[in-house]
Amino acid sequence: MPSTSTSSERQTPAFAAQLFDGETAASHDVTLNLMAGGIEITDRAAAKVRLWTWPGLAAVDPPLAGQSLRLRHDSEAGTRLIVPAGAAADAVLKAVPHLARRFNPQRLGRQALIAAACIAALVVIGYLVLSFLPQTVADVMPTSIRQRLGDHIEHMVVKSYKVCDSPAGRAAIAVLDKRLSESLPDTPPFSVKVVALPVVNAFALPGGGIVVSASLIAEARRPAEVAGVLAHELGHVYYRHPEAQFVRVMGMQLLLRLATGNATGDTLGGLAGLLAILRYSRSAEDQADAFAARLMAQGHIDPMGLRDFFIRIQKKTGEGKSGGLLSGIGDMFSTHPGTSERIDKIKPLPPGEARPVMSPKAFADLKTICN
Amino acid sequence: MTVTVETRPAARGEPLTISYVPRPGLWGIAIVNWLLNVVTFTLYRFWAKTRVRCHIWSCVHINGEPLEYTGTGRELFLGALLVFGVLFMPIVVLTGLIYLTLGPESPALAGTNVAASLVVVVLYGMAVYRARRYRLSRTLWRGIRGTLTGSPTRYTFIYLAALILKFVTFGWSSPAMNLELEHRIANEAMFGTMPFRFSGASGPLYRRYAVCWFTILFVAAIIVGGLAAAAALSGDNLTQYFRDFGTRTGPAPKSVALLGVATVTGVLLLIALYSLIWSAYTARQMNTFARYTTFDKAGFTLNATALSLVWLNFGNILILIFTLGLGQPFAMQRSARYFIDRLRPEGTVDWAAIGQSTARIDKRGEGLADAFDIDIF
Repeated sequence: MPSTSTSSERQTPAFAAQLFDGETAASHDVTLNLMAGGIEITDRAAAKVRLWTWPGLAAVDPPLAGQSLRLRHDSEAGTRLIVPAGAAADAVLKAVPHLARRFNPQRLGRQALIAAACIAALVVIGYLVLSFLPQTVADVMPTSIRQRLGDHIEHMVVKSYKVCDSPAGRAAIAVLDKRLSESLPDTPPFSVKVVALPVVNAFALPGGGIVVSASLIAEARRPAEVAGVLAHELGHVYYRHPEAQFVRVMGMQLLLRLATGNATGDTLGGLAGLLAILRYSRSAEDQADAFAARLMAQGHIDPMGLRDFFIRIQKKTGEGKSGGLLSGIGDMFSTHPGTSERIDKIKPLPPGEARPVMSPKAFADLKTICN
Repeated sequence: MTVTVETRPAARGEPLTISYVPRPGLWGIAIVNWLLNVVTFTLYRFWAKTRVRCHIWSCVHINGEPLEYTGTGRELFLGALLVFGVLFMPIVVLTGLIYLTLGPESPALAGTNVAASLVVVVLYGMAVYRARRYRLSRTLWRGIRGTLTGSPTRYTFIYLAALILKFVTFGWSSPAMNLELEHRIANEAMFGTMPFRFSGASGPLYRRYAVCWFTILFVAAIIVGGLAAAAALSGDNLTQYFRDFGTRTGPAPKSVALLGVATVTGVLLLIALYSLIWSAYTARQMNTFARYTTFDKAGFTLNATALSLVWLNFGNILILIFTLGLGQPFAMQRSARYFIDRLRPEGTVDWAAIGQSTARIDKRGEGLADAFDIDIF
């Protein structure tokens, strides 16, 4: 474009434009001169001359061909300069290439940063809520609260199923209780209940309750099998895994709400469903297994009972059948990949160490507790 | 007889025009927003919303000059965080503590739950008002900001009172109450130093309200009557059918599925019918409110109709469902266009007389509005 100006600094002819000064909504007619360092804006009527330097200049909206260019400048927050489409806008865009760039690396970087920060925040909060807090809160939870929680969850899970009870059966459970309690000095207080659940299952509740399904009792061939299962569940009770799991579920609901901004809905309503979805982590199962091994060794209970039972159940559930309604609730038979490894870890006691858990008569009484 | 010649205002004012001029780029925004929302569990939504608003605002041209949205995602995020920390976190923690210490059947727990629901009801008006104030204060035209100068607390009280009154009058106070609320919020709105004015009576709304109210009643009576008749005609068969539901020897799964499909279809049809009937009133109310509003020497005519409103909302729902949320910006654009394309300003505005707003600006965004999900914008 040929220069019509005599000034050495002036690069292009003067253009007419509009300016809004941010003080009133009136439109001001201005003249633009593109200088080496920026745009010189002359408002004849107000007798005012501004210089908008190139670095502080930004487009309000991404420039579009055939539409006027809307500019702002860092030096005047509310002021807007409207450069008409055509020669004027083309000249400005040529002088300030960063205005026209459709691909804006700075904005993309900012977006990536925001997204990364969001994900990082979710990861940190997620770790706190799902991993760190649950066990910490579980460890300091008072016994009264643990028991109340346990009662409530038992009520939700067991619901309409029959609780098995007979005088002889109760006596057999008492024998089992005594044997397990005396095996280790740090065996936590616990109570066993047999419930006519339709699946082979056992799970620990907050506060020390252990629910054993009648099908599990029916499936067991010798007392050491039942004792082994209970020893494992006692491990969960000892480490307060059920309590931690409860806190985890509550935390997850809270987290979900924080993320989605959904304020409505009942906090504890979906508890039962979520409990069923979640499982203990592998490390929690390993902890419970280790506790069980220690208990059986000290208490002279044959660990091969637990091992045999484990293998038998794995064969059954491995044949394409799902674990059933309660397969997730802290049970020991979930068929996740680590099961075989866990079975291999169970080692027999030295010969002659194992002693009978209960008399054949007591075991028979236990087997018929649901009749 | 005297003849007044108004030369000055006519000379200084400029006829007001408003139009929606679409710009390219909404697809790009929609796709990036959607992807980032997915990877951040929707935590990115504050920034996403801001980008869409920027785009849509820039398509709204008033006298040839587009609006500019100056809000930021950070402001919205901080607003939502504050509401979560001050309001929802305490409620959740309190509920949890009561649950743990007093048990799930405790009356205190039920009381807290009721109180928590009431908080949402009570604060809804606050959310509406503050959201509108935030958006106005972040809307720039020719460099001049909008504002809402009134008290959110007072609006919240009036909103709650209106809600209760509507309930106890079986809806019959709705036209008067809606007018009162719009009267409040519109008269407190300003563009720069120029206020919006709203005045008019709710009387003209009542005819249409009565027609819609009785139509709903009539349709409901027909449906209930029809169901009762069907039940009576089929007699024991129907009773037996429902009794069979609980037993294992009940109806074949195919028949159960059929019943389910029929129920869902029926409910959806009822909702569609209900919203169609009420849209006749909503359209009339929107048009009337537009007619009651003035800005400087300009008035407004809006041409909203029942069918077009239903199509707008139904279409938006379809867009959201079939694009799995990716089309959200386009739903927003449809809503904006609907209003602007049907709005016709008449009269002039003296722009030179409008100065920059001096009202205090909210530091944070509309946290309550995010939690309550008050509208599509």
